[in-house]
Amino acid sequence: MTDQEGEGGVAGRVAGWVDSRLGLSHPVLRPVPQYALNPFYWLGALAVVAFVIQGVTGMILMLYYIPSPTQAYSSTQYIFQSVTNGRFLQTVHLYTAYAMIMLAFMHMMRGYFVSVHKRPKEVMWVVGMLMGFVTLGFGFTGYLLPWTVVSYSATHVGVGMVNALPQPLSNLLNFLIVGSGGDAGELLRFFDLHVVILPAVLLVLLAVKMYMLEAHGVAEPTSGASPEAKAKTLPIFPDVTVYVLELSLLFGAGMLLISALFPLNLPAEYSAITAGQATPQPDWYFLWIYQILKVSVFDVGGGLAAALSVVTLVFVVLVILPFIDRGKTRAISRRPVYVTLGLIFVGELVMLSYWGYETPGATIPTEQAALVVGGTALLIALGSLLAYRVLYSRAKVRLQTVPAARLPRTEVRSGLAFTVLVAVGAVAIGTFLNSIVGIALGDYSLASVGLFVMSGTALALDVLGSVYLIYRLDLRTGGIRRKVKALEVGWRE
Amino acid sequence: MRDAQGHDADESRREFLKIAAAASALLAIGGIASVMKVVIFPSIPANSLSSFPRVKVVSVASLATGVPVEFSYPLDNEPNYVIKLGTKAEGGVGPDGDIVAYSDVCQHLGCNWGYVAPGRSPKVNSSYVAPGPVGYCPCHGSIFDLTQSAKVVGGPSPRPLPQVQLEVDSSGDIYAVGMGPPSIFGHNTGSNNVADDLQGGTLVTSTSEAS
Amino acid sequence: MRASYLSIQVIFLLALQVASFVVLWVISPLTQSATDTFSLYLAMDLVAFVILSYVYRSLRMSREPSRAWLALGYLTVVVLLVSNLVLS
Repeated sequence: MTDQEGEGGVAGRVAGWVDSRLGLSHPVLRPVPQYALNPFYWLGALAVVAFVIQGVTGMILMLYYIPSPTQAYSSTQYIFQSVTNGRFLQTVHLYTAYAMIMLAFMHMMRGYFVSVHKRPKEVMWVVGMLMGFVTLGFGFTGYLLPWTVVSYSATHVGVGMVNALPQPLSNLLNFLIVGSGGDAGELLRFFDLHVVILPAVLLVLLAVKMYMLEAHGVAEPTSGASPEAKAKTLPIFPDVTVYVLELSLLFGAGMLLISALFPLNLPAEYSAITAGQATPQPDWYFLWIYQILKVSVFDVGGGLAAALSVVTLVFVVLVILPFIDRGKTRAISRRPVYVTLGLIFVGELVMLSYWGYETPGATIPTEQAALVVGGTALLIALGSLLAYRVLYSRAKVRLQTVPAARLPRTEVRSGLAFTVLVAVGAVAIGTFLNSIVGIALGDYSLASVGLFVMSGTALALDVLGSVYLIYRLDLRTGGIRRKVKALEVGWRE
Repeated sequence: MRDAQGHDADESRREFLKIAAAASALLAIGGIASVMKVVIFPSIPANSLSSFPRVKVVSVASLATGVPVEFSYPLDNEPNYVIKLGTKAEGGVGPDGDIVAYSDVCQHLGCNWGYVAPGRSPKVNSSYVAPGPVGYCPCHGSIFDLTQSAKVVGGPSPRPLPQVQLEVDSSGDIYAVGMGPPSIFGHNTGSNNVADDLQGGTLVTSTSEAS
Repeated sequence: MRASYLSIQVIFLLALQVASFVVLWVISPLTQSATDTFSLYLAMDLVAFVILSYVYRSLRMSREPSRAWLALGYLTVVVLLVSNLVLS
């Protein structure tokens, strides 16, 4: 019952009693180093806080909601109109859902950039990715429940895609999501998933991840931490608890503010007629998938499966990332390629989401898609590599006074040449892909074959030219060997 | 944290901060506690109508003697039985004055009672033989005489059942137009204020049919 | 000196919290605007607590609370007060 504060008699004794009964200052969880009192270390914790808010608001909403196609909308309307503060609860529930998804994404990207997925924490990353899928599942299942025009249409596009997946997966997902078939069965499955099954799965995964976190400890700063820095720790109770509480309360206050400023309005109820007049669009976190599916190259026979394979590939790469990125170095300054790839990933997601939002229902010509996607990647890559040159080569050259970043003329020319090459390359890729489709469909006319040959040649030349340009740039900045090491092939370290 | 040199200004500042922090925490907790008010409010708004709706229940012709028909009145979640008893009853309507209706909720602890024809026994108690048409509650054995406005003739119920006031129009349709005291179980149970029957749910509309 | 600035801030924050506490318990959140007021005052209560807690924690670790974070906190309080006026 030692109370360090020695605060005034009664308060100290009460605090001591509570502490000795609850064991709050008993070190069950390992103490946290002081450098971890930084919001970026706690994005995952905030996602859990969001989940708790979802649970509380969801439980209250659940008391009034009826998961049957005939009553889903009317019970939601009842919540909006007749339940005291029902609209407020529903607003908080939706915005916190968005916040949870956003926080989970930020948590993942921050982890990627500071290399938490490297040895020995690979499994933590995989479990975390699974939790991310469950979170997206929450969004997907929850979106259908109000049975509005937008929610029904969007969900049905998604469910339809399940049938395009390869066989054992397709049957399993059909069983989970659609059930006995028909609207009533599907809504009930979605409700059960949203309210019981997914929360249970998430909690189990969370427990596993928390256990591993306790075993491994929080991530050190990427530049490494001195033994003294690591020794300066704070106990979980009360210091770290209060800190996390502060972050959570700020988050809660933010949600309250947003819910007060932007109260929700319930869209119209789903009916076949109203659905026919609105273009279905998924919720914002799925817009990037939607955009990929809209590219015209996927309009052919097996196109949907191909598009889904692309999306699945993205997810698979994310999950097995720790086994691709095996380099030992965590410092951002020494991982230019992976950091750039990460920035490109984020940039593409944002760009595709916005683009998807702006073009509902439209098919995107393949060349345009290749150009935009490639162009975004190129711009980000150039910006990132430029930043690396400015920030880190300057850091290495301590004694020389490096003037403000002014690119020498030769490098400007090389940059422009590179831009032209990639632009040409994008058009070439697009044309090439389209010509493949033409030939696959059996069109062996001169125009089709000629297009194939020409675009193929242009593409090949373009790739060679780009590689040569990069090679020359590398030579000038000093040492291919260093650049190869930066690619973190891994087995030399 | 007592400084041997005793820097008073610092220490009193620390004390002040400690108390301020504690007070702040209590105020924050109190603020969060007030969130209870957001959810504990009665969610179902009180009905502003103070009169009972007039609702068609069944037609006289469709009622068979001794076969109860269930209907909702005055709220859509309140079950009642309308029965053609076969013997003249208090408050009975129809050509034989034997059609009555009562709340299906026992006044003892809220179970649903069942109709027992004269000479028959309820399923749950074969030793009791009904002398006349009665309502028998299977939970604790309350017995209501349906010919005498559901007066309690046995069992623990402290009050008779609320009787639905019926009217028959010229085309032989039976309408429910009100409820007699006591109030329906669960609506300020035990009061004789029938206005309580109108609170806590959605009123049945005048076009509803018997279920 | 810094000490008196700190005391002023602490008193101000506590006053904000007391005001919010009173409003939260007196108001009946039955209409949309009442609910908005309720949530904004609750947010203000929480933010004031967070600022005070940050100050207390920093001083306990013998560190000056950073002016940037304090400014951000007070800015949030201002945003909440302004939103209250805008919405009602």
